[in-house]
Order: sequence, then C-alpha cells, then structure tokens
Amino acid sequence: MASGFSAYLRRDLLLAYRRRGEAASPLIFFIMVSTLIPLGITPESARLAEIAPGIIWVMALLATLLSIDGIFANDYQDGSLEQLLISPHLLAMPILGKTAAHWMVTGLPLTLASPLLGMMLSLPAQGYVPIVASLALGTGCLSLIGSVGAALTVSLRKGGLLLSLLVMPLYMPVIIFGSATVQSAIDGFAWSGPLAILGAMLAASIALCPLAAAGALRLTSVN
Amino acid sequence: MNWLSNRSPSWQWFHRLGSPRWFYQTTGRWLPWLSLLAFMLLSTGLLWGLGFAPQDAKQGNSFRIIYLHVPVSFLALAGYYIMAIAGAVGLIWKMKLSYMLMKSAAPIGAALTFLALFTGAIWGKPTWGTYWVWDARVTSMLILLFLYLGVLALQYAFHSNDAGNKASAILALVGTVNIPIIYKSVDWWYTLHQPATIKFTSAPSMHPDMFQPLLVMILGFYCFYTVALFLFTRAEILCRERKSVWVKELAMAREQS
Amino acid sequence: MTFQFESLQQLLTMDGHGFYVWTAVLVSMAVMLWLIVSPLLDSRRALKDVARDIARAANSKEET
Repeated sequence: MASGFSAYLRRDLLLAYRRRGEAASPLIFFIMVSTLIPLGITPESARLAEIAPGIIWVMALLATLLSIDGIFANDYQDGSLEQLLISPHLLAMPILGKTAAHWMVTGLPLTLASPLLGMMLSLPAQGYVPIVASLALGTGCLSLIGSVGAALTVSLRKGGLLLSLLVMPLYMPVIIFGSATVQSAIDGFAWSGPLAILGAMLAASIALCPLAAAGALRLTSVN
Repeated sequence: MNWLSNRSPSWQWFHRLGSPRWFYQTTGRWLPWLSLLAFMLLSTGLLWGLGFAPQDAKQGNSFRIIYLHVPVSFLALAGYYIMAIAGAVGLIWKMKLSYMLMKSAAPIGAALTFLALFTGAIWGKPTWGTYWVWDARVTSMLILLFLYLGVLALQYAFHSNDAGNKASAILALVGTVNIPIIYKSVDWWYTLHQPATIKFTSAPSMHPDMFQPLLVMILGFYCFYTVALFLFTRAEILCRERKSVWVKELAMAREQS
Repeated sequence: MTFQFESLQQLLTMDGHGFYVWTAVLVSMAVMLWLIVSPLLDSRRALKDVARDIARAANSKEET
C-alpha cells in the first residue's frame, strides 16, 4: 500500500539536505545556548552538575521549537501543501512521514550531541545513557506534538511565535519525565519508570498526533 | 450527517438551539433572574464566609480567602471543559452559536484562572511565608492559564473567521486531552521534589461551619460564570450578526429609546 | 452562628491578615466587575455602530 509515509519522508529529508545550513541551525543553537548557562549562572562544576539534566532538556525543547513551524510552512508557501491535501493518501501518513523527517533532521542530532553537552555541563557519569535515551524518545514526542501546533498555525503570517506559545503547555509533561529520567539515574534510583512513560507518550503521539494534525490542516489551511 | 437534520421535534429543538437570534432573545429574558441569583448567592456566601465562619485553628483569618480561591479554581478548570465541549459541538454540528460560546468562554476562563493564581498567592504569604511556591496545584493552574492564553492568542491571530473558529476548537480539544496528562505529570513531578514541610490543608478535613459558605460561593460562582458567558456571547452575536435584520431593528429601537 | 469580630476595626485588620484577605476580595471583585462590564460595553458599541451605519446609509440615499 502506497501510504505516502516513505515518499514524504524521503522528500522532506531531501529538501532538508538541500537546505543543510538552515537544517543545522537548531543543533548549533542547542550547543551555543548551552554555553550561556555557565556564563549566566556559574562555571562551578558542582552546581552545573545539579542543573545539567534540566538545562539540556530545556535547550533541546527550545531548539525543537525553533524549527517546528518549518514542517508545513515551506510547503504552504510554495503550494505543495495543497497538493498534499488533494492527494489520494490518508493524510495522516504523509504527515507522519514529514514529522519523522523533521525528527531525523532536528531531534536525532540533538540526541546524539547531548553527551557532548553533558560533558560541557558537568553531567555526572550515570546521566549519559539516560540523557540519550530520554532525548531519543522525548524529541520524537516534541516533533509529533509540535506538528499539531504547526498544522493549526500554518496559514497565519507570524505563526512561529504563536506556535511556540501553543505547544509549550503540551510539552511540559514530556520535559517533566525526560528530565526526571536523568535525575533519577544520577540520584541512584531506577530510571526505567519515567523512561517507560516517555515511551508510552511517544507511542500515543505517533498514533494520535498525525490524525490531529491532518484534521487541523484540512480545516484551517483553506482560509 | 443527514440523519441529524431530519425534521423530528427533538432535532428541531436542537437546531433551534443553534440560532443566535433565539439565544439572544432567550438569554435576554433569563439574565435578570440569573444575575439576581448570582448576586444573592455570592454576597450571602461572602458575608457568611468573611464574617461568620469560624477561624481556622492553624491559619487564622487568612483561610477566609478559601471562599474566593476554591470556587474560582473550580470554575477555571470547568470553564476549559465548557470551552472544549462548545468547540466540539461546533466542529461536529457546524453550529455558529456553539463557536460563539467557545470564543466567549476563553477570556472568562483565563480571567478566572488568573484570579485563582492571584488569590492563591495572596493566601500563600501568611500561610506559607511566600507568595509563590512551585507545588503541584499552583503549577498545574499556571499551565492551565497558558493553555487559555494559547486559545485566546489563536483566536485573535485568525481575526475572527471560520478557519479561526475551527483552529481554536481543535486546540481546545487537544488541550482537554492533555489536561489530565499535565495534571498527573505535575503531581508526580512534585512528589519527586516535595520539601518535607509543606502539606496543604485540603477541604475534606473542614468543619461543616466552614464548608457551608464555601458551597454557597461555589454555586454563586457557577451562576456568575453563566451570566458572564451569556453576556460575552450576546456581544459576539451582535457583532457577528450585525448585517441581519433583527439586529438592525434592535439597534434602531435602542436609538429611539 | 456568631459574628466573628468584635468591631469594624477588627473586621478590617483580621488579626493581622486583613491586608491579604481584603486584597484578595477587592481584586476578585474588580475582575468579576470587568467580566460583566466589558461585554455590556461591547454590546452597546456594536448596536451603536449598526445604528450609525443605518443612519449613514439613509443619509446617502437621501442625497442621491
């Protein structure tokens, strides 16, 4: 069954590759802004270690927010979104493909770069595996939830900031459990619990968010 | 959805419900009574609670803020669900009036959420020594305020048109699904970080003498919410339906009086 | 049920908690008042605008 998932996944990855610089900016933002933390708060290793899990998670969230409106905005502007809407595919599948591409371009690099940031922010040794694991699952959730917000604001001109405001409350459970995963590991407790909840959130998001985004796109992009 | 629009009496009633004009005229008749009821309940409850209910053993007189804080918090949360349900009805049955109710519920809910946070903060100072504390309840209420502000921002961004109504409805519904998740997450988060000292005195351990005025205030606030919702919706109706004959007649009649 | 305070003075100060209680009451009343007055003003303005548009249309019809 040609569901459109892989077609749009490939398409968006190719488009991102052509705009490599733009696609890399969330990652660069992630690393640069994390440098602000020692500058703004303290360079002391012990104090950084206390706040490192939360900081890395907040930075990942902000970096995702930077790029999330790009999922649909570029297509809306050049008219290919309309083509998507009238295509014979079940709309949720291409959306899932586009969101997966977004994650691979944004969330995955963040996840892979997080040990580097952990080192810069004095993350304790037990925190490295949990931070990668929690970011891997969590950034997926962030991309999916963000796609719903992007679909709602796609036809607005200054949609980017509004999008951030809309999805921020919805991101809060993800950051709670993501950060708690790492913190539990550092404190010596079992961290599979919060991680499992992140996994459950990801599973639910994969199932529901494309449907919500599809509904939103159909209803709002024809102004 | 053809089966929804057949001419049986029950569906006729439902569809008449969707007429903005009918709503305007009917609420016009109800509002004086509802307002009176709200005023009486609220003033009775407030006088009772502020002046006649016994002091709390631990908190002294500052606990009297509960007579404002608790009802307002209830309504803030209930108001979000009302907004979401109105949005859902609008999406499913494409009812203009339902969208208008949804749009009106947003500023009212946001104001009440702000009030809940404000009264909670004022209460916190004499009770816990600080205006703000990141406990589960306060944090959840703050996130609820953000959800409301998001819906309001989306409404304004779309400049009041059809797509805007649908977008706001979808956002309200997405928020509704998320509210239990958010509340549970924040609850869990707080148990991780809870300092040992603070234990919020919750309603079940209240003496009946303290509880009864609270009940009156809660009822009063529900009436007040309904009054405010009707007023906002009526204003929205007049604005949206300004090209229709009945609004024009209303305006002329008003000019002459 | 007895009135809990000896005098008006006591009602206002509430054993030191008066500032907090009465601030909460006043701010709540202000917000609630706004929630009632604001839509009423909007309604009135909407009707006024409609009446003005009708008058304007009637005037311009007279002129033509």
